[in-house]
Amino acid sequence: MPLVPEAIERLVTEFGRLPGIGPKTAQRLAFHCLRTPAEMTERLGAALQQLHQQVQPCARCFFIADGDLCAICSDPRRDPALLCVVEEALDVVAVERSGEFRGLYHVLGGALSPMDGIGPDELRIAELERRAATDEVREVVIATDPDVEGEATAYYLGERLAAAGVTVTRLAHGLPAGADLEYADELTVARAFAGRRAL
Amino acid sequence: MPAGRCAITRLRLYQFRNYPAATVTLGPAVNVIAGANAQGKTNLLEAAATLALTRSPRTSTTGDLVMWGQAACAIEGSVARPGGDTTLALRLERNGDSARVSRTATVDGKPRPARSVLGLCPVVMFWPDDLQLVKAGPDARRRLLDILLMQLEPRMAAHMSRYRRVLEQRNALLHRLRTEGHGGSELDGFTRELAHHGARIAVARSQLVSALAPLANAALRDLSGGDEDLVLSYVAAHQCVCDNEEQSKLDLLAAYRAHASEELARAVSVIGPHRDDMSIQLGGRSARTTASQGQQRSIVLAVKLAEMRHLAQRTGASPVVMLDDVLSDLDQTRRGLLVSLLAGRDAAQVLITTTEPLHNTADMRDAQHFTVTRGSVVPDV
Repeated sequence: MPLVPEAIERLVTEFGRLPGIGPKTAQRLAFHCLRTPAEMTERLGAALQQLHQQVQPCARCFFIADGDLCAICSDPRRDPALLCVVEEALDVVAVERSGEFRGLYHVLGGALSPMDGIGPDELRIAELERRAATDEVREVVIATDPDVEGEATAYYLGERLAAAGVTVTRLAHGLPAGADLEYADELTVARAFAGRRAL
Repeated sequence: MPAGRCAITRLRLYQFRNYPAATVTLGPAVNVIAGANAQGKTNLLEAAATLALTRSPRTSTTGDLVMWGQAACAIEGSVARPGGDTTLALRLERNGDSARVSRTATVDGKPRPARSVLGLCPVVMFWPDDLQLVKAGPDARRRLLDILLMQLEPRMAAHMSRYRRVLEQRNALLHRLRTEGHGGSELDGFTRELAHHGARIAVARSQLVSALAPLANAALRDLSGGDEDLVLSYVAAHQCVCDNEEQSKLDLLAAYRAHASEELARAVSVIGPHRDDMSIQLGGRSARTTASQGQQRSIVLAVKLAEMRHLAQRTGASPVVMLDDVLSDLDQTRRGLLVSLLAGRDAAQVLITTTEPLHNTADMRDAQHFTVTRGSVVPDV
């Protein structure tokens, strides 16, 4: 007979699949769940179960939605002339937190990465092209990550959307506000210099 | 002449390779670390170099540095430098059962990004493989330049890792293009990224070689007294002059266009700093094909001395020099000259490993001596 009951072993395995969770943390979490009252673990279980039942990608921008369209796409105050292209749904949350952008989004679902077999067909680029080609859209802001894959994707999108007759812009690379220049990484500082503007 | 020297005064290892735990108090000048084979002499030098560079110059499998069966290892070094003393530490931890290793660097107890440690304790290393520097393939010469470069300009370390990443992505894409026939439209984006980082690396390396060249020529005179000129020059695969980043980037992009069909046929990126080289000429001829064995050794020593003097000029302090079992491969004259230069005029801290005890040799009389036995280091009395 195994030392630990199978129910716990199963939970450890599932926790262990989560990002940033190693085998020891998975074990600690599983035993923590065992010690907490049943109603708490039931709430956790219910929350997990409802996740996929109630949440789905937005039919227009592929951000997360609890209906057909997400909260942003169904907000009449948003400016449909502006599209901000991001890699992941979490990036929408980051841009929203800034309160700077009042347009709509388009979530690609990743970035070009030939090593992982991800080409344009694996991303929601055809959908973006269709949206950009509508008369409503005037500007597409590309806000992919400033890493190798994000930069290559931004360039690719710039070329591909040129045909759609919209203005395509790339988010500026700058210094993090509130951070010491001294501790910013060298590439960030270099890019911030390249993107400097007159005062 | 440097104003001072950089010296590792105390080195502590914990579960690093074959060292369960060890603390070594090193002297400011020549330190001789003796011991039979496979006792841990090289591992000690590797630990010091890994601390200074935040990664091992000997292996790309970082997990190998952690003692077999253990989860983590640590290296800590007290570094004396003209600008004030500092303590560097590096901790490597295996992530669960995966091969990934997480790396935490601290400076005076405060966590710092690994790249900000680069250059705090400049090092010049001389491994037995370096004796082949003239004859070996170009990657040995590129590695020499890159290790020196990232200590002088830590931002270059970021360009190098970006470059390696784009190169992998671009080669994967070229491979797919060849086998499946599609993907051509994505290539440009990766090509531009490759040229962006590649141009910066090529220009920095080329400037570095220009700075090293006169130093190496002078060092060769010190060592051999010959009258043939030693000329080092950077040879870029895309044949650019490499003195301007923007121009170099345009040159690279043009070269990629010119080599498009070759790249497609071979499914690899054929242009860029990963294909560049440093040419070494003696008396106007390629040292690789015409220099004698002895001349080639002198050239290697001269290049190493040039590395050291350039670091000293740029940082204001002599770097720590590590010689791993290379003295035994040198004849008496070259060995004596090298040691007297390092300990005398260049005033560097030197860590030497050797299988034969050097107590009684004239050039080692003032050195501190240590013996390594199965992962423990003991000073000789």
